[in-house]
Amino acid sequence: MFKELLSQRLSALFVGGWLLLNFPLLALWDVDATWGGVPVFPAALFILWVVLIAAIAWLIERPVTRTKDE
Amino acid sequence: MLSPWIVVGTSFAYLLLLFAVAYFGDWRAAQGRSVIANPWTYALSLAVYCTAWTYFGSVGRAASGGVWFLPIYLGPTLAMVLGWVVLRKMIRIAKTYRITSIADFIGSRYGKSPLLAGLVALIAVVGIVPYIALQLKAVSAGFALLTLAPAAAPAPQAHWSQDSTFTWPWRWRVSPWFLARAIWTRPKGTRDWWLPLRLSRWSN
Repeated sequence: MFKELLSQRLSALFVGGWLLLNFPLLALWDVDATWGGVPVFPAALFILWVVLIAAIAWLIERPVTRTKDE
Repeated sequence: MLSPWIVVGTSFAYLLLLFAVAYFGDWRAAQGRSVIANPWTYALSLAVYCTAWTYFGSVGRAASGGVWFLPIYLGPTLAMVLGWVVLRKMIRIAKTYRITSIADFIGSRYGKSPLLAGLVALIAVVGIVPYIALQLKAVSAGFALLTLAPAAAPAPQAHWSQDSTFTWPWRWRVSPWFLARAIWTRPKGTRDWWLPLRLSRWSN
């Protein structure tokens, strides 16, 4: 379902990731605080990275034709 | 401090292991039970992105500048978002026309121009020289770190033309082994006149 929109979704994710990992928005995390002992800025970068990879995996691996096998 | 022979021996053993893995991959593919045609293998093979820069440069940057070692990994991840759209198309074109280098790729996209392909190869060579130098310097620095006694005074700085980091690659590059490899790996069915400019492929 919606397979034809995959390229568009990936392009949107690319633009979103580009904005989130560049400076006007990245400055949101540039604060003098820690989350459980970890400085916020590196923690936010790593979390954004994981979220980006998870989003790619979700978009690419979503069962489209797999419903037949299940 | 390790004996240089242990370091060299381990390096060659690792190289042999890589050849064994490649041989195994080809053997399985020939039997029709490929382990290469697998998304996990493909994704893990992208780890070739980690070069000497990863182990020396990134660690150094992390030590000196904190989190700013990260963008060099965030960038490719972001680029891979478009991998399905862009890379797939590039791979399809490369397979159809048996293209193995960026110079031939760009040349073939613009009217199979050999002049343009040569220009791209030239720019790629100039661009990659500092990067190759960095890899070689890292290898020789790593070798020195492993083989020299920790307290030993650093060897006096030789003139750059006498530096083994500089002289060794030239001995390799003109060795028959490298020339033979360069000839074997050229694209099938093409008469590849740009062979001497393909430093980027030789160094892979």
